[in-house]
Amino acid sequence: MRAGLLAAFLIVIWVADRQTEVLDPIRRAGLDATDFIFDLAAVPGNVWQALSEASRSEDAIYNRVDQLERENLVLQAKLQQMVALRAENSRLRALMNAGPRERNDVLATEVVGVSPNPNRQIIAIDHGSRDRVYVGQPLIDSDGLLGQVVEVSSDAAQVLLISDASHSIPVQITRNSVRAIAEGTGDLSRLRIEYLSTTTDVEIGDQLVTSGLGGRFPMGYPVAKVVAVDRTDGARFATVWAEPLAQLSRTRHGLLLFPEGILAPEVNLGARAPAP
Amino acid sequence: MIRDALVVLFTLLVAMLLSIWTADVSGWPQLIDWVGLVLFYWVVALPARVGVTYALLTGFVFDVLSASPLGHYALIMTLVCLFGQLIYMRFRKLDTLSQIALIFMLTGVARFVDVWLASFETQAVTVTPPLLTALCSALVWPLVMQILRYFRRYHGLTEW
Repeated sequence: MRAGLLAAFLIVIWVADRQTEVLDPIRRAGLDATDFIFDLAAVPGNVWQALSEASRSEDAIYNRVDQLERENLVLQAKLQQMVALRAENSRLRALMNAGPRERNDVLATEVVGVSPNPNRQIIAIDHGSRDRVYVGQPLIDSDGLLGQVVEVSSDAAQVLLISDASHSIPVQITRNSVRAIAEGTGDLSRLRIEYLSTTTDVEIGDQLVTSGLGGRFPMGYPVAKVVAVDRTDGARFATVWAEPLAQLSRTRHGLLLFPEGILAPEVNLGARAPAP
Repeated sequence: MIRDALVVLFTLLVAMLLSIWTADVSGWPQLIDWVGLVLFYWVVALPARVGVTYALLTGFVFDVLSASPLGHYALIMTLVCLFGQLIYMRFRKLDTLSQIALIFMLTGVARFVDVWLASFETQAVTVTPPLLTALCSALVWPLVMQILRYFRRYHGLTEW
């Protein structure tokens, strides 16, 4: 009798939290209170990293610095080109009477853990609403899109990866601007590209970027690379598989994208923002 | 009294950390249902002390950590706890192999309820196969039980 009542009570709570937003404040308070568990879980990894850095020889460090300096030089050169291209692009867009392209600010964040949920692919990051992180915000790494924020507390947030089975994202092929939807499959190394007819021009190796449709993800961020195209005779749509470009399983650092102008310049490097 | 509660809560916290670590290292979240195992141990060892309150607390914390709707894991943990309270007398008398078999069934059922609830929440493809969780959890049970038993005796926790 008591057990039945308890189960009924829990089912009511479960339905209420799924269907309505009544319990959201409680959930946020819970996330605030349990933040420390992810922080604790990150301790061994951090200690390991600190130890392996401390044990690295001086030569190795010099080599690393040397390599980073060279990389930096190459990136700087590309950036100069990029500034010129951006100016040219906005002039051309102005000529075509198109509005200016949206630009993004970024905030560096650290991945502190993988959610223990066996049915979804969620990671925890160490910035929250105090740093103006919001639900639906895109997270990228140095190679491509990682996912979007689904839960926010004051000092932490949880991010749903693009490979999660419930996640879909509007993309387009860079080569010919064909639009499609990339759906997660639950496998970290596979996305399924939906709604491309068998006659569509898509090839292995094509790069997919966010199309910006739907308004959630800004346009032009790399998402995945096509790895398999299967055109069965008589089928309406081709079966196309793509591999995410971001390192979904290994990444330790990510960048949160903000619409331009929201962040103060000094927060860009990952320092904590003062409470708003 | 408070110290005893802290001992139990500490082991549950360690179980949660282990869940996060195994998800991180293996890429299979909940390959081993650490929290379920630890909760079940305490219910079987101290049925008069560890009951639904602990199950609810653990379940709600796990809901928040795993970004599930509140009540999802609370319901599963409560089921594990109620099952433990039903069979603790008989369970203690079982030999290790039978215990492993029973844990396999219990964690299997718990994971199927989990997948069933998740299927209402999203059109989810489960990342970790439920029977793999059941198998791995059953295999580590003797170890978990020995460690927790040692821990319980070290801190002098008895049933009454």
